[in-house]
Parts: sequence; C-alpha cells; structure tokens
Amino acid sequence: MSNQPIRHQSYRILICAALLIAAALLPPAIHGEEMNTAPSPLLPLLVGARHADTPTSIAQRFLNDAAMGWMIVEYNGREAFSGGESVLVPTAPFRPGGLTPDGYQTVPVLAYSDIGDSTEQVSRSAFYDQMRWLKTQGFVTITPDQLTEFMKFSGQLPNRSVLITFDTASQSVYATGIPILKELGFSATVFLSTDGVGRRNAMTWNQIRQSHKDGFTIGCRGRSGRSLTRRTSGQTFEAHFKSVASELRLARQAIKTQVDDPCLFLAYPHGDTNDLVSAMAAKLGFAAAFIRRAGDNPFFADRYGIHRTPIDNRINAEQFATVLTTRIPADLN
Amino acid sequence: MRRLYPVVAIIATVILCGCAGTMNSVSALLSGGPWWTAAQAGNLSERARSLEARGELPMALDHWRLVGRIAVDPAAAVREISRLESKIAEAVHAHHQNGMVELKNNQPAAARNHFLAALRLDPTFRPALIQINARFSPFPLAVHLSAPGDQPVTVAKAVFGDEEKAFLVAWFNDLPVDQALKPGTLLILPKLEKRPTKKVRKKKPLNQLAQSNRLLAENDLDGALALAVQANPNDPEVQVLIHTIHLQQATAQIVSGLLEAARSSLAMVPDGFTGKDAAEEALQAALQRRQTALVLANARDYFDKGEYQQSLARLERLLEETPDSMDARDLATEARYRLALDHFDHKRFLEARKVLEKADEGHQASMTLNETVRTRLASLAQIHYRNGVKHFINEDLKSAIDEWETALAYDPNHDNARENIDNARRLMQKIETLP
Repeated sequence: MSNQPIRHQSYRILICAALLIAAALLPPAIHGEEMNTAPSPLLPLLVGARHADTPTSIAQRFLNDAAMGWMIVEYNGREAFSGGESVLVPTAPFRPGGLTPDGYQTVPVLAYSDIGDSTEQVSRSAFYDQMRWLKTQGFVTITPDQLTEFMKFSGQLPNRSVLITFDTASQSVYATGIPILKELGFSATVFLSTDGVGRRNAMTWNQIRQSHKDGFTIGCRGRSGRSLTRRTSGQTFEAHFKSVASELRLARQAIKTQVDDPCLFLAYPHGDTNDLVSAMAAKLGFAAAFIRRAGDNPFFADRYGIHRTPIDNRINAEQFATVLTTRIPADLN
Repeated sequence: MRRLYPVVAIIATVILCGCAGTMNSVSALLSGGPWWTAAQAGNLSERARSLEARGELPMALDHWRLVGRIAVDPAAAVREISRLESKIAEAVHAHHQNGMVELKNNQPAAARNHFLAALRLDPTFRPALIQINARFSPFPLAVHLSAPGDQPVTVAKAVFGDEEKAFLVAWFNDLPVDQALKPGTLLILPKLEKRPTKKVRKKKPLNQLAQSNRLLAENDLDGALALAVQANPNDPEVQVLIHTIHLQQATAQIVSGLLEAARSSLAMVPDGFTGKDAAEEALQAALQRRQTALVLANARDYFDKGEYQQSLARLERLLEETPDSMDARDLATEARYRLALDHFDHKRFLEARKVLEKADEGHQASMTLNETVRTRLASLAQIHYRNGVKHFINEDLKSAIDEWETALAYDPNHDNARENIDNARRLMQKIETLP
C-alpha cells in the first residue's frame, strides 16, 4: 500500500516524458525539414538523402526549386545519392563566372534563321536531331536573363548551358520549332521585327503572347528588320542616327505593349552593330544585345556584342557538336 | 487500471507521432539527426582535402567551415580554416600582382588569366574584377565630367573631335542641344573612336523623291520623310509619298501603342487617301482596347478591395460595349459570385437571388450558391406562409396578407400563398361591403 503513490508518481512522470518527446519531435515534422540544416546563407546545407532521392527532389525540398538540381550535382560531383548519404546543398552561386582551376565557362548561343529547307534555314528533321542531341548530352537551355546575370558575375549557370535563338517569328517556328523544344523541356528566345508580325507566314501577336506565356523569351530585331549600321547614300549622320533610335524605340515599345513585359534583349538586324548602335541599345534600356557571328561568350565578354553561331542546313551533326564548346582551357591555379 | 498507464502512454505517443507525421521525422532524426551530422565530420574533412588537392580552395574552405560547425572537437577544423584563408589570401594577392606585371609587359592574355584566377579564389576581390571589367569586358558607354563653360557642342568637340556630334551628347543625356552644363555634370557618352568624321557633302541629292522612295521601301520612315519634305511640295508624287509615309508611321505607332502620335500622323493624311480608312479603323479598335483595359483595371481594383458591387457595375457596362471581352466576362462572373456570397452571408437572400439571376451557368460555385439561396428562400417563404395562416385564423386578415406576400416574394412559386392572398382580399372586400 505504501508503494502505491510512488508507483503512480512514476507512471505520471513516464506519461509526461512520453508526451514531451512527442512534442519535441513535432516541429521538424510540421516543417518537413531535416533537423541538421545549417542556418548560414553562405555555407552549403549538410543534409541526408532519403530513399529514392534525386538531385531534383533534394533541390525542391531545400531550395524550393527543382530546377536547381544541377547545382547539387555540380557541387557534390555526382548525379545520384543513396538513402542516408550526406549531400551538400549550395545556397548561393559557388562558382560565379564558371571559373575552375583549369579554365572558364563559355556559353554557346545558337542562331537559327528559320525552320525550312532553304540553305539558310534548318530542316525540321535536322532541328529535331540537334535538339535531341543536346538533350542526350545533358545540355540545359537558359534564358537571356540568366546569361545576363552570368555576365554580370553575379550568377552561375549549369556547366552545359546553351541559349537557343530564332531570328524570326515565323509560322514554321511556331508550328514546328516551339513544339519540338517544348517536347524536350527546352526554351528559346524569339527575336522579331515588329512590323512583320501578323503578316503572311508570320506569327500573330496572340501566338507571340502564347509563346511568351509558355516560357519563351520575346526579343527585338528592330521595327522593320533593316540594318542599323548601313547609312543610305545622301542621308546625314544625324538623320541616320535618329532613324535608328526611332527604329529601336518603336520596336521595344511595341513588344512591351503587346506582350506586357519589357523587351530587354536585342538581336541586331543582319547581325551587325558598331560602337554607336551598341551604345544606343544600352541607353535605350536593352540589357544585352546579340550579333550573328561565331565566338566565345565567357562572363567578361561584351554584353552588347554577344556572339551567336548561325546554324543552318549546311551544318552537319559533327560540326554542330563542335559549336557547343562550353569550356575554355586556361591555367587559373 | 493504473497498471495500464505505461501502455496508455506508449499508445498516446504513437498516435501523436502518427498524426503529426513524426514517424518520418524519427527516421529523419536517426538518418540525419545530430548523431548522424557529427558522424559526417570525417567524411567532409576527407572531401575538403581532396578538393584542396584539386585546387578548389574556396570549396575546400566551405567544407572545413562546415566541419567546424558539426565536429565534436572543432580544433582541427579551426586550424585548417585559418591555414586555407591565409593560403587563399596570399594566392589572390600574388595573382593580382602578377596580373599587373603582365599588363606592364604588354601580355594581356596572361594578365587576364591572373585576374581570373584571383576572382576564382575570391569572387569578392574587387581589384581583379575592376581590371577584368575595365580591360577585358567592353561596355559601349563611358562617363565624362563636364568642365566650366561646357555645352554639348564643346563636349562633342572634346570627346569625339567633332562638334557636329553635339546631338549625340544631348540624346544620350536627355538634354537640349544648346543647354549650358553645370561644371562637374556626369555625362554618359558612347565610346566612339575620336576621329573627325568625313563631312557628308551637303549637296542636295539629285532626286530626293527616288531617294525617299528607296528609304520607304527599306521601311526607314523617318529618313524617307526627312527627304520627302525637302522635295517639291507641289509635285503630286511627292504629296502621295508624304501621305504614304504618314500612313505607315501611323500604322507602326498603333502597333506600338503610341495612339496619340498615331492620331497626329493620321491627321496629316487627307480623307479618302487609300488606306486611311483602314488605319482609322485600326486606331479606333486600339483606342477601344486601351479603354477596355483601363476599365478592366479599374474593375479589378474594386474587386481586389472587395467592393464587388462597384466592380460588377463597371464590368456590366463594359460588357454592353464589348461583349467579346473574355477577361471582363470572367471577372464579372467572379465578382457576381462574390457579391452574391456577400449578400448570402449577411442574410440578404433576395439580393443574392437577384444578383445570381445573371450568373453564368458554367460557373459551378455560382450555381451551387444559387441552389442554396433558393432553398433558403423557400424555407423562409414557408415560415411566412405559416405565420400568415396563424394571422388568418386569428381573423387578422391584413397581417395575414402581409405575411403571404412576403412568402410570395421569397418564393414566387408558392401557389398556396398566392391563392390565400386572393381569398383574403375577397373576404376583406366582402366584410367592407357588409351593411
């Protein structure tokens, strides 16, 4: 009889302890987070992979963005993780500018004139094969926004990044090119001359708006698409300057009005620019501008003269592969 | 009974854990908890050493910093952090110095690689980034500080070697070309090679009309207009050309949303000129679209503030004018539903029913609410009907009629109420006509 109160007391303590343990475990359960996340925004998070985790699922869980899985792959140097294995999740760019001990990153930018069978165009089958090849080689399509951040040395891109661009908003691009890209999970940038929209064989503004909604960037190629560097005989320097300014300003304004998003990227018509036209592009608010000439695009390249490699029916599969250089060797040790 | 306490405690814990999904956290705790974390210190140290061996010093440093946080004894990590920080700082400094030396030796590629190496080791090292940006990363704009007495003309002469480029100074800085500049004004200028440009001989072109036509064909409307207005204004061909240019300008301005400018351009084109009517139509359509967008934005503002009545009133007016506006229709459907719901929540069932009379049959929530409102009104009608009967039995015919009329208002299909009203009125008439 005398032991009874002590025993009851023990039971009560036991119950309280059990409830306390359960309560202590509640917060992490509610947040669905691991318990060992590092609070610093600069250091990577040290986490344990769960069964059947992938870089994408880990990125979704800890960075709230599945598309950042590539950062986990590149930081850890591996593409798969088994349950319980330690994984480091970078929370900030860890290699701005793509600088490594053995070189630096360059971003290939592909310039397609149109989808079709003429020499300057690329056929549907060749385009499909090229995109499939990019997919199988692990390339990731980026937007001009991402490229601009990279070139400002404030962003990092996947090692195998590529920017795909079209120099026309044609019906072939809309009906053939864009569906192929969407099927493969790719995006692209369409540079258009605003006067051509809605004309025969060209996309309508509705189609352009739809493409923009689907994640395609709409860039500008002037209002009429005429060369900005060529001065007509008899035209004064000042008259030419004013006509170029009007050409760019009206085109930019038209895209902003129709797409309801600022137009930040310019592909110089005919692929040409000069010091003055580049300066005008910068002054008018374009964040970057593209020429049509093969070349490297490291982070320190000219943002108003970004190289684009023209791809057409004359390029075979082997040549296409050589265009896709993503690393320039250099001793940066 | 008390013997069952431990069992109750275990069951309660399991239920609590299960309800909150904590079992998952228990497994997470075992596979990722403090014990697991501490056990990773060795693994991370090994990775840090491997990274350092491959030259990835910043990543190695991050690894050691992590080890310092999780290791039971962080002393070794602290030593490694200190060592690596010094090693990185020395290497960054050396690369910067070597880069400057290579620049002096006129070896830009080698210099660039040294600056890049410094940035790789320390991305926040500004001196290297400044060198890269200034020497290897071209940017088309430069800055210039104005001197006392400067004007765009003097700046153009000093910077471009050509005072006729004063308009460039003005354009790039949004200034009038003849504005006197305060000393020390920061000007943005294009980077152009300083060379006197070849003067374009200002002789009149032999055939301005042909030149202008050629520019028009190239879609250079401003250039074409500038030439056309210099040609003989009495020449009918010149007049047609000028009208065509104005018309094309108007069309481009409409697409760009510059509707006032388009209106001005169209005003320069005489009535009856081929294409003017179509451009006028396009302008009117664009004006209508802009007006629609404004009203829609206004209605959306009211909607967002919860003022559904105001929002709906604007949308209904808008839909009378532009019945095809899908955005307006969708927002009106939503506003109507929210307004009806608000009436319903405040027991204004008649108002709710009135609003829902125009509800879109495809809007499921509206249809469900409509059904609920009608059911509620029918039950209220029945209450008033019964009240009317009570009054009738008590020979208070006027109150009975009032109640039945209320019942009829709530439920227009309440035939008994309608019939009773008629009977009661007849009865009242008879009573009034009795001698």
